[in-house]
Formats: sequence, structure tokens, C-alpha cells
Amino acid sequence: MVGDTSLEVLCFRLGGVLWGIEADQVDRIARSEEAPEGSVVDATRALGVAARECETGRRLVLRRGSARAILSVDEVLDLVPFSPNDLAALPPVIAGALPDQRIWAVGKMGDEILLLLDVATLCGADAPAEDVDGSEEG
Amino acid sequence: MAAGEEKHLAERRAALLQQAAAAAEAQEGGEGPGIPLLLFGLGGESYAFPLERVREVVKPGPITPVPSIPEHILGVMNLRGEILPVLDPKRLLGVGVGTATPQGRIIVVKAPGMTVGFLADGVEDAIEVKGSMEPPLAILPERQARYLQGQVTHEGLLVGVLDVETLLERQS
Repeated sequence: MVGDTSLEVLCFRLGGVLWGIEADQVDRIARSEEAPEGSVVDATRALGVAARECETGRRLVLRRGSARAILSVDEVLDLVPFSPNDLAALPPVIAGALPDQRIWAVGKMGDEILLLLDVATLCGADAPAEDVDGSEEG
Repeated sequence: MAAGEEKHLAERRAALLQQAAAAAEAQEGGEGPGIPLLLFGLGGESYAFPLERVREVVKPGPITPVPSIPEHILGVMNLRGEILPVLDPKRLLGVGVGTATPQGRIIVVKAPGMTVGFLADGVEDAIEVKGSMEPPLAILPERQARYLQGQVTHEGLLVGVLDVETLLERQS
């Protein structure tokens, strides 16, 4: 019954680092020349890395309740299922050194480690309050 | 100086030197319980962790950097499925910057509630030092002294014994 508890994650690279976001928090993937609606996340400010200007660049349209946020990334890799065995909490010595809870877990992909982003923290760090209000519109 | 006087002086000096050598030997290898330590190299100097704190020593694998954390935290490594944070003690001590080389090793250390890896230039030996641990020398820079539990003498050299808890304190 692994399928019941596995998590589907959209994997991407940003600033040379391997990141992931739960697939159900991604509305769609836009090409870099598109200008999707939503507040733009300043990755340098929110994550300490900057997207490279490259052909593989994409824009992730992230869901935050009814609002949308745009995160530019270097490259979108794949949708990858993670079982609970493939996930782990961030070690306390690192979690305690981060300014917020932007990384809620890490995923094991062979020797590589993927940093799982918390969209709420990511958007909260950048977007205006009205854009990131998670409450559903009536 | 009379011959007898010279002989007396030489004997006295020889006896004093013999006593000095015995005192030094007692300090390094005397009676009492030994201190088990793991010796390793950092920036050309020898340092040590108490052996009881060391879980294992491994070759460095790929280390994933985590953006926005202090420079002395190199990132995380997948150690047989365990997510291990890896720290750079050289940066903390101000003796250079740690880089993973073929000779380099990660010393996996047990700390309260966590396990942490420290990147060393190389592991030298597991030793047992007789005598007691002395406080760090006053001439040591404060930046180094603060991370030392104390110092021991091994083969005539002073070795700093690192304090795991202080190394793991959050840096400002």
C-alpha cells in the first residue's frame, strides 16, 4: 500500500541546488517567456539562490489557497514519488541555522539529497499579505 | 674549579635532568586512567575528539549544500540512508576552509539528540593519552580556545581536544 502514503514531488534545480515541491502545490509549469499571473517570488531573498538565465529555465506557478505565486527555476526535472522511507526531517543543526521553515524535509535520491520546499513559507517571505492569504475565497 | 667540585656539579646536573625527564614522562605516560582520543588533522595541526563521542569515520560522499546557512555548515550527506549534517571545523577554528579530498574523512560524532559529521583533512590515529587534560594555553586565539575542551601532550606535541557541544552551538 505504498501508493497510499507516497508523495509526488516536482523536482527542479534552482541556483544549482536540487529542490522539490509537492506536486499538488504546483498549478502549472510555464515557459520562461510567459508571464503568468501571480506574485513573483524573489528567490535570492526567499531562498538565498538566484535562477540562472538559461534555455531550460521555467516558471513554476505555485498554489497558495486561491492565490498564485511565480517561482523562476533553472530547470524542471521530473515528477518523482517519494515513500516515507525516502523522506527525512532536516537535521536540527541545519534547521536551527535557517531563518525560517522554508525546508520542511529532505528527500533521498541515491547519493543526491533534495530539499523539499514549504510553499507557504516561500510565498510568505515575499508576496504581499493579500496574495498569500491561504483562506479560500467565498 | 677543583676536579672534585666539577664532578659534583656534573652529577648534580645529570640528576636534575634525569628528574626532569622522569617528570615529563610521568605527565605523558604516567599512572592513572588514560584518555581515549581520535587524532585527526586540520590545517597542518593535530586535533582530537574524545573517542567515546566518535561513532565512525567515513570517506566524504557528495555533500548537498543548503543555501542561507552559515558557512561552517557544509550541508547534508546521505550516509547509508541517514541524513547527516556535515560541518567544517576549520572554518570554526579559523585555520582554513575544509574541502573534501581523497585523504579527507568525515568523523561522525554523537551529540545529544543528533549525530553530526565533521570534515577533517585526515584521520591520524586512535590513541590513549596518560595523564590529565590541561586547560587550553592562554596564548591560543580566543576563536580556537573557545572550541577546546582542553589540551593533552602526545609524542611531545600539544593536541587540542575539541568540545563537541561548543562546536554545535549556533553561531551568530
